[in-house]
Amino acid sequence: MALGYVLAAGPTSDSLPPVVLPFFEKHCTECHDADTKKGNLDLTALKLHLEDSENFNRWVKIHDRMESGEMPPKKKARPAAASLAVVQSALASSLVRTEATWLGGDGRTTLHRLTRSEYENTVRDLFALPGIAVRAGLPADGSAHGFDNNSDALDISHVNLAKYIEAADAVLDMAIATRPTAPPSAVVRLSLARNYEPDIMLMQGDAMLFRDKKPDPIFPPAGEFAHVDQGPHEQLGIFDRMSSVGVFRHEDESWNAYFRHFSALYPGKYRIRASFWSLLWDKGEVRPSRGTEAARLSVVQFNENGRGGQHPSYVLGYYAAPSLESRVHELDVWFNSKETIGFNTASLAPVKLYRVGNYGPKGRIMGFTGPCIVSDWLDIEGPLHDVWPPRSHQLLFGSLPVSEFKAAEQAGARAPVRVPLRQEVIGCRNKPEPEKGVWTVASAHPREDADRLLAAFLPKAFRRPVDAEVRAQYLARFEERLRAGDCFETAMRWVYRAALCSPDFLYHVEVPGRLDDHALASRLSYFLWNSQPDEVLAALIPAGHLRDPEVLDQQVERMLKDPKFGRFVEEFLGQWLKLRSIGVNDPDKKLYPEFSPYLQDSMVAETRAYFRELLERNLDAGFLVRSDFAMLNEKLAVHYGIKGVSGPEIRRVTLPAGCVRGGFLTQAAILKVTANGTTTSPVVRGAFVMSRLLGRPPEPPPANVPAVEPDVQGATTIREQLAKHRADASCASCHAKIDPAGFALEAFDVIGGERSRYRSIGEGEPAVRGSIDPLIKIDFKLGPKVDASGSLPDGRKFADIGELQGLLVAERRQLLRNLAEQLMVYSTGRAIAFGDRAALAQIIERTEAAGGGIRTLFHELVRSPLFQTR
Amino acid sequence: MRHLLKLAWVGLLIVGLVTILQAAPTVEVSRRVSGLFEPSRVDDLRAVVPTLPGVEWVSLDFASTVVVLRVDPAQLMGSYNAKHPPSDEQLARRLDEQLASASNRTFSLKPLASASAVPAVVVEVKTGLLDCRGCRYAVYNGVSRLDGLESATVTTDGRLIARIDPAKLDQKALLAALKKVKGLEIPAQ
Repeated sequence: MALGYVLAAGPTSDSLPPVVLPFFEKHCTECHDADTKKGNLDLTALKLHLEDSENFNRWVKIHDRMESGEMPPKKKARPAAASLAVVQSALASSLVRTEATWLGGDGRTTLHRLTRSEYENTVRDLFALPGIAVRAGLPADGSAHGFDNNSDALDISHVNLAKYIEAADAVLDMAIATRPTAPPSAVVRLSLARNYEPDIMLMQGDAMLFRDKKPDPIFPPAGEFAHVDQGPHEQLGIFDRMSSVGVFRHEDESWNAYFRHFSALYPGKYRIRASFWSLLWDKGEVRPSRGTEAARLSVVQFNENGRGGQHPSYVLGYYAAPSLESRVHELDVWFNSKETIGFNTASLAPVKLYRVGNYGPKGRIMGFTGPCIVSDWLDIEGPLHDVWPPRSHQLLFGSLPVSEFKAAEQAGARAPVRVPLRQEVIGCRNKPEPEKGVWTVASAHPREDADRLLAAFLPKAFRRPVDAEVRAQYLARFEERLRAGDCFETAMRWVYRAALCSPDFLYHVEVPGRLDDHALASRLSYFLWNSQPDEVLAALIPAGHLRDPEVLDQQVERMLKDPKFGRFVEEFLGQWLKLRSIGVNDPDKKLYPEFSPYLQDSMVAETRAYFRELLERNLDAGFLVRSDFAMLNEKLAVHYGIKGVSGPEIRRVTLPAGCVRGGFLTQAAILKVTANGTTTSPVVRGAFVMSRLLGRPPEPPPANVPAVEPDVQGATTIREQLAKHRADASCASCHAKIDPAGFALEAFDVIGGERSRYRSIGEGEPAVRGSIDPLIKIDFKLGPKVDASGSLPDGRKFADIGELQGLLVAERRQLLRNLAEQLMVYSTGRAIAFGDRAALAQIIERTEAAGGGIRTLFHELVRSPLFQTR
Repeated sequence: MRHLLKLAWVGLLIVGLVTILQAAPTVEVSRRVSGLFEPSRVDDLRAVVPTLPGVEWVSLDFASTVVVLRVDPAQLMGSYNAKHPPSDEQLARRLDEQLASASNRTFSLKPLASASAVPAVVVEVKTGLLDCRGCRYAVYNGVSRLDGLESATVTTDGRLIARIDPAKLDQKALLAALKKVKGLEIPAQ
């Protein structure tokens, strides 16, 4: 009776068909009434006010529990399938109807701005400035439903606006040519010897000079006696002879290396060539190295005059240093102002050979046996311009000439403001070319030229046609600035800045309902490239062909193959699989002394390369958790105990039989982001698997229950602690679902290494070195044994991670469904609504019908009405 | 007429300059040279001298470090007035500037030693192994400006051999100076 009252209390649109009431009374209220209230659910008190979002979500959960078969529970009498289906359908219809009423014809994706990375990539592509860095200057984005491009999180404030103005200025500063000819390109050859702290490196014994693959006789390696006083060595030119520099020391908190005699003056593209080799140093003798070592190159930005240190760098890559054989690597990089190249002996153990006072090994280099990476030289060529003025300038000013500003000819107009370029970083040898005069864009017919330039620029910037009325407003602004005394360039700059700060540029403009072709092109482009549509995509719009399935397929294929797709891989995996959190904590150095930045970067590279491989080969969702191959370099292969992989390049490796590596589930990156720096928790890892891979996010933990803290002293295992926790019935029901996958993943430590015993810094037996570099000191001990067995909530048991993989692979459809959901949320910028489920199911069915490949999923997703509707 | 006058003036000027330049006689400058911390430095010095304007090598006595250079004052100084030729001191100062600049300040000139009542003596200080040229130069640099140092060399097996005026300098003072050399670990003497 009470239930009847509750259900009848709702509005007509929210009411359930009468068939539902007897069903609930028969199968549900025995446990979910006011007296029993199992799972804290009292159906007799639950109102059917679906317009209340909390209440709506409660009913969605009830629907989902019935749909999954979890409710009514197995131990109770099962309702007839037909009866259950009728109830589910009735409830679903009511929920869909209510949701449609909420939306009232509006799109599900609300109006939202570009994220920081979308903004940066958009200006990079729009202005053909592929390395301009403006992201760091913009406020951090929020996040909703797992992604920062979700419309629920992308509001705007006065802080954003102020920063957009600064960013627009930075873009225009770099885009506009201020000289008649391109800055001269030059090749600068740099040596490590005079480029970074030789007083520590070369003088004290962390590095030495080589010539012709032998120790340079003019500068013998530091032994019992270190080198004396750096200055006189420099005076004699000992570091200017372009000798090769062999480095034994890995970068650390107090020291890192960079080529400090170069600091970019002209932002732009540069070509880097670097020559590396490696050796095994044996107390004065040069021997073949243990294999191919890896040198890391990065981009480093100086602060101010370079005396105050430098900004954190970003890694360009890891480059092979073969044994006793120089290898030249060539790469193109974009330098912003004050940037240079950093270097690190990535594959070496963190040994320190320098000795100051009584600290350090007495024999320095001459008493050491171990690997060394040698940098012969590094060339920086640039800036490289294939056209002048650059494309960025041409976008803004077309083919108008750049000529010298002469006040007498400018009828009182003010000259554009120019800051003289000078080398501010102390010690850098590259200097700017002297600039004579002020050069600016000349226009004989300013108004006509401005109108023509705006007509070309605004549609590109706004990603859709621009009405003449809107253009006229910008033109009026231009004329106002001209009247105020600005020269042509400055007046146009005002207008362009206004355009770059306008909602038309900053927001995704989408009309409710079916997206028009411009919005569709933008959605597709921001999905796969994190940026605006390119000219090829834009060219399809006027003819109305973009929506043709074949055309859309071709475009998706083209975009998946484009280098810009790398942005998707970085953004999507960074959030879906939490790769952005890879560096949030550093593993404890005593417990995991073998961890290094090289290993961490290799982990991320593996996960990204693996996702690309799944796409490339159109593999099914089962490969998310189990695979017969992995994407590895030598560092990871050693970490995983897989033999036969040499060098820093990530490549596809067929796994030996019984190897559990390969899928995301057992990749080191995933295992690291689901652990803190000291311990693992089955709860955290289990929750990750549930929410990120299986799409069944667990309930949030109750506020009043403290977290389980693992014991690093090695006295008790996390399993034993959790067993106590689960003894509480209120905890047990959730943990029965969360923990199983986490238990299986206990077979892996915080850096993704396989283990059969926990590491301990307290009690335990002596550790076995295994694959840990012999030069790394081991302090940890072996604690209790790992038990990676468990059972799923449905009772299926597994003995180890391999068996769990088998069970999860059987849920291929759920894995695919979750990936489809994640991609849909990411691509549309909104959460999956209840009413989207049918369309999503259709995507999954069509994908499965075509073999279930992940590449197919991308195509089906883009074709779907969900993707093509706001 | 004006053009003729101008031409006459220019002609006179050229003749005058040529006369002055041709008239500048070469002179020999003798000075002690600082920076000769080992015999191989003679080659360095001989390599630097020809790069100096108007300077030719004549001779060097390594033991006393006295170098003799033949100098064309006009080229070295950049101008020459026969009526007021540069003094020996002026030439030496200019020569020192040029030599220091060309050698990255590893060579410099010093006045010839004045006759002393007490004859110079040779003292030796152990410095530890110095198989690096830069290190030997650093050790030399540590003492080269001491008053009373006539000359000094540093050996690869780690000895500073100094010729000193005992009235002004002794081994203790040398050791004290060496202790200030950055990173030098001086063994027991």
